[in-house]
Amino acid sequence: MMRTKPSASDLTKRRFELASRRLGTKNPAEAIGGLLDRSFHLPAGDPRYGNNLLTPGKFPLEHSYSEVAGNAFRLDMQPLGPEATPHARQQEASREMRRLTQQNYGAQALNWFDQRSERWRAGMSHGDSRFGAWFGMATDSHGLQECKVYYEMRENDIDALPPTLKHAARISMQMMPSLVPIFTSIACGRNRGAQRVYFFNQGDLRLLDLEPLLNQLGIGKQLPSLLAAAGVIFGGRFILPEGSVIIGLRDTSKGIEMKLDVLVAGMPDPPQQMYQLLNMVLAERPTSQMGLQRWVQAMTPDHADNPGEIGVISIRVLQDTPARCSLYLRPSGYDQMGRLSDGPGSHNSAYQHHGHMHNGQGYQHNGSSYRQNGHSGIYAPAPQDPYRV
Amino acid sequence: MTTTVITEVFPELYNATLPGGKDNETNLNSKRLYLAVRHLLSELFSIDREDPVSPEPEQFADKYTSGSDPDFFDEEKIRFLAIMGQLKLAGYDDPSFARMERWSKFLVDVESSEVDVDQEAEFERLFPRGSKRTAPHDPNDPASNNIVWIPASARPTQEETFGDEPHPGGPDNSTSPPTPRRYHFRVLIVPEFISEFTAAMQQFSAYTELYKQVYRGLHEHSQGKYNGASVTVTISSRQLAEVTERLIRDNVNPSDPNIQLIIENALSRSISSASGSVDGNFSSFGIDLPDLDAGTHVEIIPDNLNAVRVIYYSAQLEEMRLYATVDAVVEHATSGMLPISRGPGLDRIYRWIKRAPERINEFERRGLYARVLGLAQGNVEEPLPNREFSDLWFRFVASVSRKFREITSTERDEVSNEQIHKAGRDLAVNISLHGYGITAPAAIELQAIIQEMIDMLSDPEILRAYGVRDIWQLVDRVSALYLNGATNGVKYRTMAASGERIISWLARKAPILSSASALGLGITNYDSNGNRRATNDFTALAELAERWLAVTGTPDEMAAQHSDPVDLEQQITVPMLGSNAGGFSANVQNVLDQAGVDLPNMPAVPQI
Repeated sequence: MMRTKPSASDLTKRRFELASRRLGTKNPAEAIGGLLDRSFHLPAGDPRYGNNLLTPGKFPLEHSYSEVAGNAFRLDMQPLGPEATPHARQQEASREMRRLTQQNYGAQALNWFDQRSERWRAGMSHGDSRFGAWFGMATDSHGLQECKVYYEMRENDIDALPPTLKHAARISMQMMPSLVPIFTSIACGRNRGAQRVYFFNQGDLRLLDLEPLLNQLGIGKQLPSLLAAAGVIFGGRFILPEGSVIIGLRDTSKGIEMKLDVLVAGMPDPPQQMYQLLNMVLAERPTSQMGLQRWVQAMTPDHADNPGEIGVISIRVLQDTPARCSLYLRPSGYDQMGRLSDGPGSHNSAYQHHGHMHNGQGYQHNGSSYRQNGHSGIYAPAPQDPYRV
Repeated sequence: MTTTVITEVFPELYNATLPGGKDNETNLNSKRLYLAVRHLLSELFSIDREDPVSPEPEQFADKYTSGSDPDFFDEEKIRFLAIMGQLKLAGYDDPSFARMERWSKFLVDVESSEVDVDQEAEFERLFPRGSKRTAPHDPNDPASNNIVWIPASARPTQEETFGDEPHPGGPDNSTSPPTPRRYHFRVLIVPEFISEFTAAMQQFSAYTELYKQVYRGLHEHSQGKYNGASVTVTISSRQLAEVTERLIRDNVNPSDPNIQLIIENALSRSISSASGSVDGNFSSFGIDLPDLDAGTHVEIIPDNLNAVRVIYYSAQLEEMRLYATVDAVVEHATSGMLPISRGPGLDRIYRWIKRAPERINEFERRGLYARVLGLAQGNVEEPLPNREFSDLWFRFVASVSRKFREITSTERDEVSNEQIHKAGRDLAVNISLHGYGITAPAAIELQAIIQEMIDMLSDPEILRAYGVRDIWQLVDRVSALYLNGATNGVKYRTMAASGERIISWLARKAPILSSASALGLGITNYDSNGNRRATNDFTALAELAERWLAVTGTPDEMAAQHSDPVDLEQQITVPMLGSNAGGFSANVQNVLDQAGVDLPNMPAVPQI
C-alpha cells in the first residue's frame, strides 16, 4: 500500500507544538490551524514552496526572536499556497487577522484594524502586486500576544497611512530619495495596535547617511547605538549593499521608532560568526542574551544541529531607547527537494521577473544574490548550489 | 354596429418588433423551443398529431382563432403555452442545453459530404447512443430516447418544413462581398429537456382548470375594456406559468367564486416582483443591471449565476463609494444642508430614508461580499467565505486574455481550449456554490437598490446642489470632500461592468462548462482561407477580460504566470453542512481522532 507523503502543514503543526512547549507559550497552531492547512497543503519539501517572496527559495515561514518580546513564539508566513494570487493572500491574511483580533481583543480592536486596513481589504488589489500580504503572529504563555498583517504597498498608498506615520514617511522619502515604500504592517496586541511602514533602499546604504533622517525624526541621538550594534553584528561593515536594507518606521506613544532590517542574503560576504557577534551585542543585556539562547534551543528540532539560517537581522531605535535587536530565522527541517524549473537560474524567475517595482534591481535581486552567494547563516554551512535534489 | 376584432400575440413565441425579424437570435431560439414542445407533444403524448399547429410560431394561434368563430380559450392552446411557460420559468429555454453548437460543426461537414473521420468519432463519443439522423422519437427504442434531432429531412412521413435559418458557418467568405448562406432549421432535443417537458406536462394535467382560469384572466386583463375598436391581446406564457404556480402554491381552487380576484392579485404580485419590488417571487425573474457607462441595460440571462453577477457589481460600486455617497447626500438633506426644494429628487431622498429599516444594510452587504466574493469584510465568523474566488477569477480572466492574443499571433499556443474550459468551469462551479441561499433574493434587492441610488444621484437638482454634471462627478466630489478622498471611479465602473458580463458569459455557457469537453465553447473558427480566428462570442469575452486586466494594471507577465491550470484538490458543488471545511479546532479534532469518534453530519463551525 502506497503511503501518502505528509503535508507540510502537519509537519509545521508538530514543530509548533514542540517549540511552543519548550518556550512555554501557547501553541500558535491552535489559533491558526486552518490557515496552516490552507497555506501548506503541499507535501513537505515540495520545491514549489520556494516560489515566495518572504523567504525566496525556502519554505515560506519565518520565526523571529525579538529583544522586546523575548518570551514569545513569533512567526511570519506567506498565506495560501505558492500558486495563490496576491489578492487572495490579502483577503486571506485579512480574514485571519480580523478573526483573531475579534476573538482575542474584542470589537474595538477589530474596528481599529478595519479602519487601518480598509484600503488593502478592498475588492481589488493592484494587478502588478507581487505577493499581496503576509501574516504574522506571536504567542506567549497567556495566549495570543500579537497578530499582524503585512500588506504590499505602492507609493500612492502612503495616503492611506495614519497622519503621523504618513508625515514621517514623507519626510523620510524627502530626506532619502532612495527609499521606496514596499509594505506596511498592521499589528494588534492586547493593549494597543501599531502600524509600521517599510521602505526598500535603492542603492548602497552608508549607515552614517541615516543621521539627517534620524535627526529629523527626533531619534538622532540613538545613531551611535545603532552604529555600534550594526558595526559589531555585521563585522565592521558600515556600508550595506543594495538589496540588503529595509527601513521601517512606526509611530509609538514615545515617538517615531526606526527599524533597520538587514537582509543577510543581500550581503555579498556576511560574517560567518554573525550569531556570535549578535551574542556579543546582547552580552550588555544578559536577560536578552539568555532569552536568545533559550529561544535558539527551543527552535532547534531534535534531529537537527541548528534551528535554521539567519534571514534578517534588525535593529530598532526609539527616542529614549537605544538599539534593540531582532533575529529572523528560516527554520531548518523544511528543506526543499527537487528543482522548481528547468535549471539553475530559473529557480526564482517569477519574482525576479515580476517582483520588483523598479528597474529590475534591489529587493527582487535578493533572490539572485541569495542564490549566488549561497547560505548566509551561521549555524550550518549551506551547499554552494542551493538546490538539493 | 362595429365588429370588434381581437388579435392575440405571443411575443415569447415570435416577436415581430425585434430587428432582423425571423433571423433575430431571440426569435430563432424561441422557434427552437416552440418546435421542440410541438414535437414532443406529438411524439410522446400523441397530441396534435393529426392536426398540428403551424411550425411557424407566428402562426401559432391561427389554428384556434382564424375563422368567424374564434376560440381563444382552447385547451390545446393553453396546454401548449402552459408548458412553454413552465419550461421558460425553469430556465429550460434551450432544448439542446447548448449542445447544438457543438453538433453544428459536424453537421456542416456532413452536408458538404466531406466527413472528417476525427469529427465523426468525436460525435460518436459525445452522443454514444444517439443517431445523426434519428427518426422521430420512438418510445420503444431506448436509443432514440437519447437524442432527438428533427431536421426537416428526418420527417419524411410529413410533408412539412421548418423553414431555414442563417447558415451556422456564417456567410460565404469566398466571395466579395461575402454571400449570406441559409441552412435548414435545426432543433436538437436532449434527454434532460425531455424530463423537464414531461414534468411540465404532468403539472398541466393536474391543474388544467387552474391554467385555463389563469389564461382567461390574463386574456381579459390584457384585453381591457373596449368599445368596439380592434384589440390586440398580448399573452406571456411565462406569466401564465408563474401566476398559476403561485395559485398552486396557495392551494387555490379553480372553482373558487373569487377566482378572478385571486388571479388579479397573483398577477399584480407577479408584475410588482418583475419590476424589482422585494416582496416578489425571487426565483421567477431575471437580472437586469444598468450599464454604468452608456446607461443602457444589459441582456437578461436567466441563470442562477446571475445572482452573483449582481453581488460582484454591487461590491465594485461599494468600493467606488456609491453607497457611501448616497448616505452622505441623504445625511446632508436630513440636516438641511442640501439646497434643494420640493421635487422628484427630494421625494427620492425621503423615500430612501423612510425605507431604510427594510433595506439590506452595509453590514449585511459586506457579509455577502465575504461569502460570495471572499472579501475580508463583514462578520468575522462567516462560516463559508469564498476563499477561492479571487484565484479562480484571475486565472480565468488571464487565460482568456492570453488565448485571445495567441489566436491572433503566429506563435505557438500555450493556452489550449481545454484550459479555458477548465478555468471557466472551476470559476463557474465556485460561483454557483456560493450563489446558494440568500444570495439570489439579496441580489434582486441589491439590483433595485442600485437602480434607486442611481436614479436619486442622477436627479438634476441634486447634481446642481453639488455643482457637478453627472452622477460619477458627484461620487468623486462627495468622496473627496466628505469621505477621506476620491477613489478611481473609472476603474471600479469598468470592473463592475466587465466583471458582471464575464459572469454572465459563464452563465450562458453553463451547460458546456458542465460537460467534459470544450468543443461547444466556440473559441475559434476558420475563415474561407483556412485561417484560424476567434469567434465573435469569444472576442467579446476576451475584450471584457482585457478591459478588466487593463484597469487593474495587470502586467502581461503576471497574467501569463497565472494562466496555467491548477489541479484543485476538491471542487465542492453544494454547500456541505457537515464538512470539515469549517472544521473543528486542531485539538478537538485530534481528540476525536484518537477516540475514534466519527461525528454524523453536523453544521460546520467557524475554523478556529
